[in-house]
Amino acid sequence: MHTAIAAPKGVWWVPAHKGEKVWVGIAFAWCMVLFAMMPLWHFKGGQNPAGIRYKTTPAAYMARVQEFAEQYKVGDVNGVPLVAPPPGSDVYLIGMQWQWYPQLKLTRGASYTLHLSSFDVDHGFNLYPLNINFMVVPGYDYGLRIVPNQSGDYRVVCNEFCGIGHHTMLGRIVVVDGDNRAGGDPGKPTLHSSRPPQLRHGSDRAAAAPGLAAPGSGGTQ
Amino acid sequence: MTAAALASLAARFRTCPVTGLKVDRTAQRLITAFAVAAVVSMIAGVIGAFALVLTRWQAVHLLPATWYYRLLTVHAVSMLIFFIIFFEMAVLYFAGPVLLSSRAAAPKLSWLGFGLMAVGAVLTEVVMWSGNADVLFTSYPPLKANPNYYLGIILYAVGALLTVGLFFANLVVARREKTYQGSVPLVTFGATTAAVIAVITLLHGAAIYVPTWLWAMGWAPMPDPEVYRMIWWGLGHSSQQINVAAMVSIWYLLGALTVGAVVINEKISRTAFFLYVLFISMASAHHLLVDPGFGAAWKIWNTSYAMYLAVLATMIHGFTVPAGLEMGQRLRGYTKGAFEWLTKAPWGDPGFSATIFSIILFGFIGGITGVTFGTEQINIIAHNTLRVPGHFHATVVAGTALAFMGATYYVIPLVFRKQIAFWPVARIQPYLFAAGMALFTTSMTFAGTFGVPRRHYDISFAGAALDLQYSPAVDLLLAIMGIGGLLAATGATLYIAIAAWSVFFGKRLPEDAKEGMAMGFHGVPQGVLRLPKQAYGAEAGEPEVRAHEGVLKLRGTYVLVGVFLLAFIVYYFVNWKLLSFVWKVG
Amino acid sequence: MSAEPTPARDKVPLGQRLMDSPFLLLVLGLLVILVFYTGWGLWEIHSLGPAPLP
Repeated sequence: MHTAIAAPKGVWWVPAHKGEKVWVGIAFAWCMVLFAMMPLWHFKGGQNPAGIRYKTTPAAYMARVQEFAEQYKVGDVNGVPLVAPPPGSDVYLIGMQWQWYPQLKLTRGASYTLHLSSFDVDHGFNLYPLNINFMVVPGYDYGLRIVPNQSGDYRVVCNEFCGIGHHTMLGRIVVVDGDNRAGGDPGKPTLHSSRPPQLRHGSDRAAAAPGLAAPGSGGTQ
Repeated sequence: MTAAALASLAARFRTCPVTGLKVDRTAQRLITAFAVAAVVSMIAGVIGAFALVLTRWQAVHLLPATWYYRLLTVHAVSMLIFFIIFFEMAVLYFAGPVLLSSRAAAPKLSWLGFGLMAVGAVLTEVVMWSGNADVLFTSYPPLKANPNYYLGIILYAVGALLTVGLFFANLVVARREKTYQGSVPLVTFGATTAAVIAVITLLHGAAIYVPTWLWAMGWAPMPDPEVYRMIWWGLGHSSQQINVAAMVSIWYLLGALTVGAVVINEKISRTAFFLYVLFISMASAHHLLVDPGFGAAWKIWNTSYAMYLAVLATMIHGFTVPAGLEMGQRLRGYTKGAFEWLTKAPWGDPGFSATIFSIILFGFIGGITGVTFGTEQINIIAHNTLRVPGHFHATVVAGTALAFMGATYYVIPLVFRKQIAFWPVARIQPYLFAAGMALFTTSMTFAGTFGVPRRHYDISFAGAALDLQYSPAVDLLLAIMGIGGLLAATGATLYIAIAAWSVFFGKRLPEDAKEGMAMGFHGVPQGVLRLPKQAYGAEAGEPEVRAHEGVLKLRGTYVLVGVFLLAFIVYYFVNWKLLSFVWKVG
Repeated sequence: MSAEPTPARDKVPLGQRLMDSPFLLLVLGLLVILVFYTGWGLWEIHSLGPAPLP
């Protein structure tokens, strides 16, 4: 027998010992299980990243977001609309440096198509505390059918680095039992007093050119 | 060739008094250069490590925000690109010319390759430290860095591609000049696998960094963000697969040198490396599973490395490496029970302890977590959380880097011909580093399951317009992460100190083997002076005949792989269960 | 045991000859990734339509 630093001479392409063959067989079977789980869950499971996926532009998407917010607005949290769309509808959320817009109020058990896109750089959609995560990319509309299964006052955390304000970027999704269009804002989200809430509506930025380059060295503004 | 030329070529070689290999001094000097550059790069990375871990430990929160994101960029680039690829170039020169007793082809070109890499690395470091590339290692557009950031990495990649090309040339030279008989050793074959993956990596790197540099210069439009992500990860994750192939090769190497680990079956081990060559790079798709750009078929096929055949390959090595160790030890007489081969192994030899911890941490923590949340759907509950760096610190750091540390303890006496400095510290360094990394990676992974984001300065969200309070368990987990990280970074610092001191100020080893034996094992790992019988001499290089059934009673290995498979199965299905609790989505 | 002479080329199994060819390995490795990951990936992105934003 030789070690791995010796050059093997002659024919070394020979059958494996039985113990090795057994292990390779077991490992192969496990790999097939691993592989089968994905298509299985794709067709039978409740959570998949397969969404409705399109190309778009930040300006066009932002315009649609504002239209949506205007149409179904039921409240206001320091300038950011709280929007309650009807069950089954298309819901629009946009990420931008450094907020999520608008805030959403949904009905438990109802199905919505949640659209995700960015106004500027890549962002990461993370729904706290459920730990649902998706990418939010400028120029792409990612539409995911969601069915909230528990009521609560959720937060949207950004988990893709998007510049110096990245760690202040928080959004909100409220889920209520019953009609989401009734009752205004059920929660009273505590606001940090250390800085005034952001009043950055899309309207003053919608006119900006679709060019997306963050100025200068990117990230330290 | 003239007689004079032949003579001068012969003069380039020295004969290793331990292994009998003929070492080209040009190759040796190149190994030195690349190894030193690797360790110097690690210094930048380790400074970052200390600062970052003390910042994400929220109770300490050392750095201000800009420096956190800045040093995160420095840490990742210095470790994942500069340290590890410099080291891998040294491995290529070792596995090529040294193990094959052949000459390093085109010395001038070889030094050009090194020079390009060195210049590129220095340029990139300067740009990062001066705050002109606060975009993180991935530098996703529309985030934009100073163009010299991309230029530095391009120069580095060109130098690396040249060096990898020369590795292939060296293989041709060795075969033509018949410096070895039969096929290349398994370690060299593993290195060839790494080299192929390196070409894949570097070509994707060129394809994405050149257009991005052009855009940063204002000469071209911005690359599409999704296209960028896809091609960048063709560099970003594939570079980690170079690390896997190199690490496994080092496991085989150190197994041979420390305990005379044997190759159970060349066909099986080489086929496993071949599966890496074909399929392992597809898993760059891991990073794009919750992206809008790709459909389910592309995601499932690529993330599975083609039906998990590359995972099969790792599970094969996960058997053959311990099996080889066990067999090597049994051949040396440690045959009692199922585990005497392991309990009586040279645990005081840092080359050995590093190898064992690398195997265990890579397999149990790195491999299992990675394959699990690299599943298309499970990724939904893991993407961009701390589970991701928890995973890759287990694979790349506790796996590859630790194996490289172990290799260093053999390279110092064998290639540099020096005694290892601070020997009592060197013997425990792998233990310290492994323990720190074990704490660090597991606590990080748990924190990630609570949703804690990666690459995030402040999970108290001070200054945000809304509030969010993570579970109190998270504070505890981040504290453990902090302690583990400090231990590991200390272990890394000790490694740097030991390696640097040994190479530059260490005591020279005597050329005479007998004289070396007489000085005992202080400062020299036991395998160097007492290379196991089956590693050289008449037994080496024998063709693998049908192995006798009775010989391969590898009870210890069967138990270990059984435990591993069980852990894998449990962890995997627990995660499906966790996924099923969240909202219906998709 | 003395070393065996190198066997004739046709006696070496195909698998061993494949493993002994680094350039063939390089070509196969590049082919697989460029087709399944890069090429198909680019096609996926390219074939996305414009968002109707209903």
